[in-house]
Amino acid sequence: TSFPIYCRTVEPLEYYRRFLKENCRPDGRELGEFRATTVNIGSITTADGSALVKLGNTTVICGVKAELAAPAVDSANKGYIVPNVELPSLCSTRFRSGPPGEEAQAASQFIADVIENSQIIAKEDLCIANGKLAWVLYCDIICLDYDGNILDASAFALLAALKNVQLPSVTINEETGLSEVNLKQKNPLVIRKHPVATSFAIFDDTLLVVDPTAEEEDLATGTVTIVTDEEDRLCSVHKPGGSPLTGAKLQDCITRAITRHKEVKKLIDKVIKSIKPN
Amino acid sequence: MRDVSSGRSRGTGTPLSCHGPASAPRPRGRRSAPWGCGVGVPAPHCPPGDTDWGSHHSQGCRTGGGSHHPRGHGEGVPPLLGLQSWGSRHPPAPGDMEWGSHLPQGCRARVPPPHHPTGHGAGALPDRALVNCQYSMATFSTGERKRRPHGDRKSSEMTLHLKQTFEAAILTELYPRSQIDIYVQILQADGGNYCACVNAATLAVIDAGIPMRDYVCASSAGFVEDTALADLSYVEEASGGPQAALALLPTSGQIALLQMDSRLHEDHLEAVIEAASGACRAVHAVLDGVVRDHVREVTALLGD
Repeated sequence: TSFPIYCRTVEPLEYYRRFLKENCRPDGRELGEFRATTVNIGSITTADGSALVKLGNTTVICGVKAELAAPAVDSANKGYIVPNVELPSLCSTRFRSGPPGEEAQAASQFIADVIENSQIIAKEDLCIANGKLAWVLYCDIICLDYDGNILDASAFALLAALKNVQLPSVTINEETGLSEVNLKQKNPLVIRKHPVATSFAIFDDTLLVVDPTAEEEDLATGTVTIVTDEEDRLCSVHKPGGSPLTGAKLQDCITRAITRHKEVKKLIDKVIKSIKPN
Repeated sequence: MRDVSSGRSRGTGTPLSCHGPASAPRPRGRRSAPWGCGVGVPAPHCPPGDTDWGSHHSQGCRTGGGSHHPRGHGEGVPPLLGLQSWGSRHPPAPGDMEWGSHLPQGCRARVPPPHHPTGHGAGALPDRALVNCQYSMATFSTGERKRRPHGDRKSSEMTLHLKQTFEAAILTELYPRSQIDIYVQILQADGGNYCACVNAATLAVIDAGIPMRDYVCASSAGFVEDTALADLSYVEEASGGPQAALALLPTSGQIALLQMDSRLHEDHLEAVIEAASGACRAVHAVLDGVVRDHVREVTALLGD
């Protein structure tokens, strides 16, 4: 089918529908196909753990910095994990400079929920001395290039960065009560679960496409994000309004999410193995 | 100059690929924290183009002779330079892009096409464009977590310097009543933040198609033990010696910005400026080479 290229800007939805009728998308992908995913771990040496994830053009970098703090009074044996997603004006013209916008705040909350629900790290593991000292992990996720599907990329970057974190061993001197940090001896974090997010865009109330680009997100009538862990269990189903979905369609999404989890796990394992121990 | 290595991304058919951290060889005794410039630019008429450049440094080079110094070795060693570039989105099939094996590290710049002025009370200038810069550092970019990535005094000062530097270079008369934004983000800081930003932003402005008088190349320089040193790392800057930042328009040799906030005997000033200029010219050679390669690649693709 040949139709004028200006259709894309003049009638984007019509243009898009013509592709969807043929069960594909303008960039040549199938409806259930993800964009080329690449991940790069450990590139930021000033951070305690870092990862850069590219999902097609969407580029997200996550840097983890660890600091020491006193645990909260009501959970004396738990450390803290503080995620933050930043969508600066650098990544797309749609974001203005200034305080974090709605999308950034919603994404930060989503990541915080994923950490909490999936138990990716047991906060008890971050405690050094009960009631006195614990680790705080600041996970800063910065979008460098926005082309849709920020939630998947952020979750992936977070997981990869946490796998890369090396925490120095800390002992408390019994006599002085002060902490001694041994930078020479570093231990990796214990990652309990590996949550992976898969996002879908809903078109015309019926069609589901996986891994939407920014253009597709703008044209979509709704979105769904499913987070699964390695035991094929659901950690989170995030469907913020939008077109209603039947239970059967939701089940299809979950099935695709489970497949995606395996792909991502394989990729992460490959990268971790390829890192030369230093 | 610190070593900056070069590479270009290639397309690949595999849907998933992965790379470990950059594996540039690092001589013993050097700081292994690299900095670099990243550049991303959406061009107005084609899918947002995005080129990233990064750098690794594996050794420092001295300029100006002198005997043993822990920083470099051998006089007359030509500065090792190359800019690492990868990840261009210009090839039309986004499905088969592969990230190169070196990451975008250091600094990233983006320049959207000139547009109507947004906010900023002042409004448009009737005869030229308004240059608006924004400088921000990632919280994980420094050794200690940075609590205020933007809005603090240092960032504001940096923003102002960038604005002034680029107002000197960009032909703003060609865009009256418009605004040109330059967004810069530092991902990893290891000294020479301003210089990395200027170099990255130069490439971003060129990629955006905004005409400039000349490339703007910047380098820092210091003076230690009677030797002028170019391109200081964080450790060298923190040691407290005199240091200067220089932004140069290399072809004409004109100085766009020179900043020095330390005590330096006027006899040594010439040597310091000379060291910085030499480094700037070296950076210019690299930037120019990279831009030409990129243009060659794009025209080859468009020509097909």
